[in-house]
Amino acid sequence: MNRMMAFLLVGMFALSLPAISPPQAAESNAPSVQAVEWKDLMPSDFNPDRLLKKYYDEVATLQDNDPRAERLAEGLRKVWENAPVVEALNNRVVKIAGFLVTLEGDGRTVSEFLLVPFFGACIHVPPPPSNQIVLVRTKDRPFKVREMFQTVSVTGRLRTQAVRNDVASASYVIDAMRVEAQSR
Amino acid sequence: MPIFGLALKSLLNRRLTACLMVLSISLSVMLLLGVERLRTQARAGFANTISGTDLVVGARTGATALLLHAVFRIGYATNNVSWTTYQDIARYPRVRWTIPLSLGDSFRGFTVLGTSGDYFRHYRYARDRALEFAAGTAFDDVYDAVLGVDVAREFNLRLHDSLVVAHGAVDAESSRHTDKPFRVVGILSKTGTPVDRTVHVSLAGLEAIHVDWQSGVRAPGAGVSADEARRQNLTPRSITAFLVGLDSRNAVFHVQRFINDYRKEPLLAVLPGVVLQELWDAIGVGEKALLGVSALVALVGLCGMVTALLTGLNERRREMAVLRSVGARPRHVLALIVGEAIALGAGGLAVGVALLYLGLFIAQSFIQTHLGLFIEIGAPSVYEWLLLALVLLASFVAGLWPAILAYRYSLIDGMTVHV
Repeated sequence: MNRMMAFLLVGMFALSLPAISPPQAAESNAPSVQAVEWKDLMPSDFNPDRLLKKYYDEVATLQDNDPRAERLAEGLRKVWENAPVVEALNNRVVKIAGFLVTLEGDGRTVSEFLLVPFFGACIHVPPPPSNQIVLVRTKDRPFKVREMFQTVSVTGRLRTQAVRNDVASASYVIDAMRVEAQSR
Repeated sequence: MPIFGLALKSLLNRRLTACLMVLSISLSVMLLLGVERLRTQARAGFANTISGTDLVVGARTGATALLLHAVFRIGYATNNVSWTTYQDIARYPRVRWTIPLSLGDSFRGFTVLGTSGDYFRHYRYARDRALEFAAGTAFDDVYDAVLGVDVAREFNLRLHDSLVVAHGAVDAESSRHTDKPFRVVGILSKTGTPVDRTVHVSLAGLEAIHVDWQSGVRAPGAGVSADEARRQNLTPRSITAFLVGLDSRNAVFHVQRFINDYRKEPLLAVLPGVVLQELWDAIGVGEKALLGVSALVALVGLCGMVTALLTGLNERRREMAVLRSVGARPRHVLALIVGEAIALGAGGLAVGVALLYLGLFIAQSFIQTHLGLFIEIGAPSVYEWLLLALVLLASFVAGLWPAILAYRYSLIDGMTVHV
């Protein structure tokens, strides 16, 4: 099968996952902490299913190595990379659970990681749209990581950070107050 | 307290056995701490070498192989990345900076790295620390070189000295680029990473010394002088790998996907943090096994001590009787034996720690030369103190058994010994 088509197909599959599989954020005792789920991070008018449907219909008409496939994938990647964020969540203290992907650490603990809604987000399947990826910084208290893609729940102030870029886009960053390990 | 002094003197009287017991405990302590020390230091060493880099990109190979070669200079590259591909990816909208890396030449066992000025601007190590110059500046001319601190120290090179690099990883007379020496224009400060053991030159410099080389040997009769080489086109055709920094770390998966799906050339982009985590997960089992084995060795050492104390008891019934005759109570006998065990344990700890530091001191440069890892020789960590305390506690507990036996004997025997 054409690689681009595979990309789109698996992308669809990947997107249907967050609705089912992510560990549910537990109810928090502190009233100021807002338990957030991954779908809350997508604006209500951002519908990846509909976006993918549109592409999928068009891809279905393509032959292998059709130059249009590359253009389509390119377009979809742009949408994926610059997915809109929910500005209303800016500066809220939230609690969200997901899978940890190490960025910076000392071999025992991590001080910076990405939180993603499904397992193996960086390798096996195409990445989720950018509004489904949260950068977590644990500057003061590095988190002792047990294994790859460990499930953790993160509590901290969520900020929507603008990206210096020609395309208007923003991404989620949490300065974590607490990171807890969760059992799968 | 006088009992403890007596215990020491009694031990001194049996110094050969005592020495052997201390030795066996100290060796096991050294092993226990050494395994723990190497484990944590190796992890810290690897993790501290790269920081702030979002992706490491090279020709398609194993993720670990790519990271080890490009960043830690361990192993070899299977293929190169073409210059046009590199430029194409460097122009990708989300990419903020790139550092090209060209490996393959050496200077008397040290890596020669061809790169660009961005290396000194954007390379980060040990949680976001930038490279600093101890002397001089970054390279500017084709034949300029910037040395890591260890290279400069080892060959006593200063600014404006010249050095000749060799083709390939082995510095053989026949493969030296003698006609095109480099001039030292900068020396970097100590980083504790492979950077210290690297000679940095510009990509153009690497290209220049290879203009008259074809198929791995100097083309006969095609001598191109250093100045003639300058006038040639010194844009590299390919590089070994490159580091990528993005405008937002959140975009890393998308750019990684773009690079891995790059159609014109098979490439591999990896997140350094993830590959290291994979590496830790893979060797974690081995680490645990090693720690388990060394814990068992410590147990064997203590068992040896208990055996020696137990066998000694029978022979020392007379000694106990003498002690009783001068007024020692059975509990004193108990304290004597426990005191001995603790003294042996403590002696073993002290000697073991001393041996460990001696070993680390000797192994430090060897490990750095062969693995590119800087082993820091610092005070024991909290965890190591805990291990030490555990061994001491274990020797106390181990001493209780012979001590209780001795206590019983001295109750039964009184002052007359029926041997």
